[in-house]
Amino acid sequence: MYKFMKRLAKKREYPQQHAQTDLLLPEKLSASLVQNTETIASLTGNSSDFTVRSFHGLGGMTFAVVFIDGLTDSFIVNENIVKPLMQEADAAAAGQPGGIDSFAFVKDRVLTVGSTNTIHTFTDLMSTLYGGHTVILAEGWQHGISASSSKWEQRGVEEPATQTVIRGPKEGFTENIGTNVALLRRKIKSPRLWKIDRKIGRITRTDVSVMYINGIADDTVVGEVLERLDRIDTDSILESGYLEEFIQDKTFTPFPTMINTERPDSVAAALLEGQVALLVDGTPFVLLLPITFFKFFIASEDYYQRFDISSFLRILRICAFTISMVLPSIYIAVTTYHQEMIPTTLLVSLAAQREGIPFPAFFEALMMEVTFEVLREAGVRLPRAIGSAISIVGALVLGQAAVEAGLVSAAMVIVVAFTAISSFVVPAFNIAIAARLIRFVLMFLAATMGFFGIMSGLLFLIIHMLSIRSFGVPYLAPVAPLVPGNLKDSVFRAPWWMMITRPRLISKKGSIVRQKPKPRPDRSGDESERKT
Amino acid sequence: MERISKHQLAAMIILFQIGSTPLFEIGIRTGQNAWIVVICNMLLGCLLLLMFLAIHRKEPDKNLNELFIHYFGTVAGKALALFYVLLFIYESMRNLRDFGDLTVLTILPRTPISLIMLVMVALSVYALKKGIEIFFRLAEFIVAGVLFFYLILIAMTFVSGLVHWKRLLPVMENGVRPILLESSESLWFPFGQMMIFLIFWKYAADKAGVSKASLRAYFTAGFVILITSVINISVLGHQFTDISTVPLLQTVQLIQIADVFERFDTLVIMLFYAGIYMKATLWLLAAVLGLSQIFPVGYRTFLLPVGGVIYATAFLPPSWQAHLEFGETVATRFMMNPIFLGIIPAVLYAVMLLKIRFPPRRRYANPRP
Repeated sequence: MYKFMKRLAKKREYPQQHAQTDLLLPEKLSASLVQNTETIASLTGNSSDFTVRSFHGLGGMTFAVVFIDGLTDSFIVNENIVKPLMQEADAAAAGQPGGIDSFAFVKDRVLTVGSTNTIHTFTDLMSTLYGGHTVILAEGWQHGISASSSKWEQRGVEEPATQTVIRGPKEGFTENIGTNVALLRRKIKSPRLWKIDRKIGRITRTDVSVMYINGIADDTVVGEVLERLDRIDTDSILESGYLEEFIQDKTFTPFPTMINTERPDSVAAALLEGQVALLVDGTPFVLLLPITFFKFFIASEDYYQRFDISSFLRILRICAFTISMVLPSIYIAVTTYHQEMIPTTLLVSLAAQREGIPFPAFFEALMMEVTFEVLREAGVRLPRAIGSAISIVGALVLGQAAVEAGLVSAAMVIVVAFTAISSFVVPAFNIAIAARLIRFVLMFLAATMGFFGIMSGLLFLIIHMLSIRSFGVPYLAPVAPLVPGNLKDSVFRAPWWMMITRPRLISKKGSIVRQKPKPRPDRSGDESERKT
Repeated sequence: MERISKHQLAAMIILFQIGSTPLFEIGIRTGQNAWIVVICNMLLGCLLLLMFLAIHRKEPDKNLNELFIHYFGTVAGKALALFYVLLFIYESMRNLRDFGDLTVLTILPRTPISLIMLVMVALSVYALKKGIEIFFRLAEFIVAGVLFFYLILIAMTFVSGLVHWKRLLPVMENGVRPILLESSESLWFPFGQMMIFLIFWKYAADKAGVSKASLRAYFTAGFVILITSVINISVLGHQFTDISTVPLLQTVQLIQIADVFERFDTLVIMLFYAGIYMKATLWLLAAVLGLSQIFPVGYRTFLLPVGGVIYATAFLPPSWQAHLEFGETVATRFMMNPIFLGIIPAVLYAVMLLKIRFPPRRRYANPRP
């Protein structure tokens, strides 16, 4: 399948479009101010948000400040760039002995902004403009100065809509990569938290940051991530999902090999285990890698609750995931092939229910499952205001009425409903979708070969999952291959003081000790304290 | 080269040993003493296993086929390896047919056996296509589930009060002789079949742990087999165990707890499926590895053709009875098991010892391995 797709992709040879996208830029800025402003105007097609403000300032020179309206803070442009140039520069220059180099003087003495840079080419000029900087040009200068002045409207830090918790921090990432990095820096106050930047997308020039803790993250993984990022040659990255598809290990699989999360605390915890975070500007979803299958069942809250409760919840989630995958197929297999498995009284009542149903169990189940998938999709897309209408239609009309009309049996509705609810238990949405797809295949197998079909399907699935790797880490670790030490934080969670080591397959080799062994709570004084 | 850990090796040994064994009652010809035969087999098989391990320890980086070629010469060694390939294909075919018939007999009476066997062979080929490492990891992944399920089944027979120890009496009413006689015939299945791991021990990453892991796994599996044997006899009685097609299935059908936990047959068949599938696939893997040794091509090339041959030959016996009879004939009349699982490895070991004691004159300055 994969080879076939690759062959398809290879057959057509696309003309190289590199040269076209960068247009016909004159390489360097010229000394003529008018010529420069005209080039900017022609490059941007006279877009009205590109503001060019010309004025006379220092020593009667002609200046022009260029910025993009909406990306810059007009207060900074007015007070820290234009005002000093027009009004205060002359006074300062008067105090200088001898003649002055106007360029250096403006850069070092006049502009009262956080950071400045020298601009040589139009490519530089454009990219600094998109970063919200203001560019100062002047008649006679061969270079321009960029001054930081960015400010744009953005969503504040809010509670994330996905992955909500009962106990734990309520802040979530935003669409701004700078804010997101700051959120992480506030959690991990260490100089070892390193950040490597890339701009990806020929047209969108999206900021992508690779963050990891040096000395904990595996260097080969970091290297591999950077290499895969550098291989990407596309015109746009609008969400981390784009990136995920470009750099994932395996394409033809329902199982994701990266986790996405909106929660800074999850990312911080992952970084501390040696994982690598990928932040993409414009989305609150941060990618974490490498991961293993069982990480999808870990909610960040597990580490804040008591360990026994979290262990129970994790087992519950894995069970729910399995149920959401196999329950309809088990129902089909049992009612079609293995009726003897059902206790007699239940069998009688089931048979009575199914008596008037015109369809075989497989078709009945398929109908209800598809209906539910439609309902769910509608529930996500439809405007909030009519949300309640959908639940009425879904619950009453499709559920109750279908049973009363004799289209489906009541047991089937229960099965579908329970399957649906189970699929929401898994904290990671993208693995829950995998279960949705697999469910239909298993239903078909159950309809043709009963339990043997389901078992074969599951065996196939396990073999497939065993063959997946996420950046070199086997997907089903630490169960297969068995890493006994890491089982402490997989299906179960041991108390924090017992988890002495970091995950062996993920963190850097030789850096797996997390804490001193057994600083367990001192219990010697317990009895006497209680008495007093 | 692909590497397997000692956990994976142990898991594979357990699943391979359990494999299709619960379908049959070993040594039921000695009546209620069958379980003593199992113990006897296990101990005798352990001696064989120790010999296999000794062979492995002498040449830890060579598998069976390489040993043949090295010690018996290229022509004789390759011919011998080819015979073993045929043996492995035959054993894989037996397991395939066993499971096909079992499924049709019990849970899917109206499904064509061709479909069931096709699915199983396809899964075997798929797993091996992914590589030796993946297949051994599969064993590691499911072994806990399989053992746990056996434990539950055993516990449930006790809880539902089916076990009557009296049915195990009298113990050895005819003395030790009949038991040893029976044991000498039946020790090959499944305990003698440990020979197959002569092909896989070479892949173990931790050479030092091989013997320990193998012996532990061997006895774990042997213990499960022993308990199922004891339970079958103590629940069904030896006459009924003797005539029933699949005694363990019969036993499980009797389980009844609180009107809810009953009729586990389907689940037990699935349990058998896991075991038989692993065993059949391991035979297949041994066969294709042997072929890749004889003809210097990667083993994945042989997967489809050999899988096809196994699938096709599985249709040869007209019925399960014929299939079982055929197996009996091959095993006893042609002495297949003693020759391939006992005598040839023993000869190999003897040759190895001799060659190591009296090294041949060097003909080349640098003897090539």
